Amino acid sequence: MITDISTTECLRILLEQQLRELTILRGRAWHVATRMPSALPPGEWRGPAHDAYTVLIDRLNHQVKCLAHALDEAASASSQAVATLSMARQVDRVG
Amino acid sequence: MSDDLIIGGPHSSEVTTSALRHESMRCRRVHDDLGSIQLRLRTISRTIGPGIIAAADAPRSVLLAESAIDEAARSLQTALNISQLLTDGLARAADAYQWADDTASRISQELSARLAWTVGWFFPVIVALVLPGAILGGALSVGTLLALGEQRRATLFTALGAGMHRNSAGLSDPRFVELVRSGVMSADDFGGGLARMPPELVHLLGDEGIGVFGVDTSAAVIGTVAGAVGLLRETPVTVKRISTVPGLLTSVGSGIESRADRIPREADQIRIDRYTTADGSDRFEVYLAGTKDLAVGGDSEPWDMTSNVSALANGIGGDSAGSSRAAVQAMRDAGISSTTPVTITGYSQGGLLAADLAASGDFWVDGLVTFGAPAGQVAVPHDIPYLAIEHTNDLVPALGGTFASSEPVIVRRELSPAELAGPAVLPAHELSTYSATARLIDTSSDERLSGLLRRLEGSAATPVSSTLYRAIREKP
Repeated sequence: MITDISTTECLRILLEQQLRELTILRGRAWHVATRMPSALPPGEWRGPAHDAYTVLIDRLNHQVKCLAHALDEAASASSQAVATLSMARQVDRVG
Repeated sequence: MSDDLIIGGPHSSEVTTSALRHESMRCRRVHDDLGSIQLRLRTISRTIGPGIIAAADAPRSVLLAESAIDEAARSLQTALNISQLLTDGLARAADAYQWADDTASRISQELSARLAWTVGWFFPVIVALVLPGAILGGALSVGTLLALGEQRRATLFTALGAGMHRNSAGLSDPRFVELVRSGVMSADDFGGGLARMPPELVHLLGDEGIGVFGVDTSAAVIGTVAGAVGLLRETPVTVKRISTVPGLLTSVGSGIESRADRIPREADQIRIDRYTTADGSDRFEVYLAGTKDLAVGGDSEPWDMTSNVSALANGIGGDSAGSSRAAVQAMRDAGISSTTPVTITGYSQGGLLAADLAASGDFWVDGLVTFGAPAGQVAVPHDIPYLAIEHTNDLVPALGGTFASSEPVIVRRELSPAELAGPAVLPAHELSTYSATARLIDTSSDERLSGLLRRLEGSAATPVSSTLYRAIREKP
């Protein structure tokens, strides 16, 4: 239930701003995910350093994908919140 | 392997070092991108505070968004930590590989120098031991050849030639090429041992020391000895302008492949392209061909073995290489002076001449590109953008030794067996194979290479004319 119109409107505007930013960041995060370093180290590199590299690149890939997915979720939830608040505003106007 | 470019400077040639630096740079870019995302995400997370959420009695999706932003921030921080770790770790690993490469190379050079000095010291003894057998073997060989008759002798020589050609693959083995490079660099030490000089003094004066003796002195000795029997003697040269066409003669495109394409392949040895820059001043591009004739004397071709030895020796008997004098004459004829910017591209002997011209200081050389040039020992000023392209199977650049006194960006590539198949004795030295490597360079994303290519291309300029020159030797 929406209580205060001016506060709600303020929140809606802030959410719209947040959504715009999140959309940009989401795009950038997915762009980074496509430009990751090679999954395998240079062919002549062997030993523990080789294994550590593989593990770290795997973790980095995972974290960048988590970041992109979290930004997707945040953008989606923000969009939903904007829609909810916009609908509430229209209902209030009609009422 | 055949499409892998090994990009480095004079002191880095190992693929691992180059690849590690490349990966470190990629991790750095990822880290920087993540850092900029973090800055903006921090702003977003401050946009909507808990106060307004409570006051507005916000829908549940606002809380979900806030929770997802917090989750994103946590993933981002972890990713930043990992990318920093990778960037630093790869850079440190590259430094360690670099150090190991440099140390191994230095030790190898020192050992090679010591070995050469020892062989030089004992050379008279070795000759004394081997000479009787060699004389006997030679006499037997000559006797057998004389007894064979002319026709069978010709058949034998043809078969020997074909056999050598069939077995010439060893000449394109990278290990053999490196052995030759090492031998070239140790020739002065051999001479020092032969002259009974103390090894410490030879070391001090040689390539590993202050560089008084080196490839040039070894070439000068060869030139002097050959000159005594009438070979490798410099002559006057004349240069003729063969044709001038408006615009560009061929290959209008830019890039390293187009530079390789513009190097004269027919009888002409020099091509000079004139451009006008935005401010109306002239700038030039000079293209110098490779060796045209393997003759060691009595020929009319300045791009011959005499010029090769002479250019390596910085001149024989007071005369600089005939091809070098021809190039200077053509450049003067085209209007190139010490105040006109000029970029020089050369293949093989042409690359050696190009490096010599850049080192001479007689011209304002603002770019240098060499393909398979034996120019390792030429002291090209470090401020000239310099790209040296070599095949690890190409024997010719190894004859110039290592890049001890210049700082080019060196691009090396090992040709595949398929590329080495063909009738040429030194297929890895063919200009066509260097064109293929140039194509790979043009598409490379390596930052050192792209930075150098931008400097070589310089500012925009309009082509005015292309001129071809042909030089000939005159009788002394």
